Amino acid sequence: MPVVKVGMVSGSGLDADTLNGFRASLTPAPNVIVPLDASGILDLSATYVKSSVYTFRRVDLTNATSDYMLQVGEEAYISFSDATSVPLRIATQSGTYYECHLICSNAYNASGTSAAVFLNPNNTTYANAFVYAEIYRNSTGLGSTYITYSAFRCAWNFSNSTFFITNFTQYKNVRGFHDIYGTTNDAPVIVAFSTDWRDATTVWTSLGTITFPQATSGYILVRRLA
Amino acid sequence: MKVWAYIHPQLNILCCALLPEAVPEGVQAVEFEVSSSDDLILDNGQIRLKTEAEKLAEEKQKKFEELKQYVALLLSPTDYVITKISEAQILNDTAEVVALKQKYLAQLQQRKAIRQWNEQMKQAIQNAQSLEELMEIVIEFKE
Repeated sequence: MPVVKVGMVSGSGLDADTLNGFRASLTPAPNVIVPLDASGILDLSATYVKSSVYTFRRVDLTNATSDYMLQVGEEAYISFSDATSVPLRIATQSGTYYECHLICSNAYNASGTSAAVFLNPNNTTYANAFVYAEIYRNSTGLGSTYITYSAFRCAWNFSNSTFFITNFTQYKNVRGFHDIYGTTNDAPVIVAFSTDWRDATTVWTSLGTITFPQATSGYILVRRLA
Repeated sequence: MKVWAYIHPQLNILCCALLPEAVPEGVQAVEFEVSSSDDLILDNGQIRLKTEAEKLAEEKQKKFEELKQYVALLLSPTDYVITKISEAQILNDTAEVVALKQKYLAQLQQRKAIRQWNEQMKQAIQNAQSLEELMEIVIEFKE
């Protein structure tokens, strides 16, 4: 049980400003106790919180030059501006599972190219190895699509897309839902989709690159859940 | 954009690395400058750029599919009219068929207009001589 040492006599060898030998500071650092700040906030933004099973931390991978392996619970933030290709720079391995939010900031009435947004696993396209299924509702009515691609389709044109990524070497899938905007007469559109990588042997080691059909701005959040 | 194209050693399919470091170790890749990785094709074991005619044919197929889906969406709100008339025909209720055709005349005329427009669009897509010409075709039905 911790012992609070207060009011020790100077020169006793015990420091009255420590708790079990740990000093306090508003600046997080190794072996330092961080109190609530003047606003009553525990500000650990310079470091992170970790248990044996979960890590609370956001890492900014914008402009990262090599892949980073997220810990379970850890979240990556990647911002982009007028980009057609955004490498996520996230390492992955069989058995992992992620939640991803692709948020576009272009104007609702921006004119986009009517084409797919892809997640290219391993920063690579694999010819016709992906099958995509969707159900959508646009201004005309309810429709569906079932089609083959060379990467995971995860959005269309300009989108805000939330999707979940399963990575087992023997079963690799991306599924979720998104809106679509920037089209002539369809928006808003809501889409529910699922896309399989029909390949049970290729190892998925890098989460990959998001490619857009037109210059796009916004940010991406990826949280590892398993 | 630059891509590094190679043949997957196990699956024997065309792969395009979007970053040079994404090419697997020990695999020979060829660098291409393309507008999309879809511009490349594996042809008899050789990776090459698609010809303009090949690209046009592919885009036409996509446009046909887009048109087909759009027309299905346009027709679906009045499908119930066809179901009702078909049911009356199956029951040999001629009077009901005539009555339904009269009742739903506006819907039937709209369906006819959609189908005529669909045929015109199919012809326009088929007749497109270039990608630019094809991309200018906007699939939007106006009553």
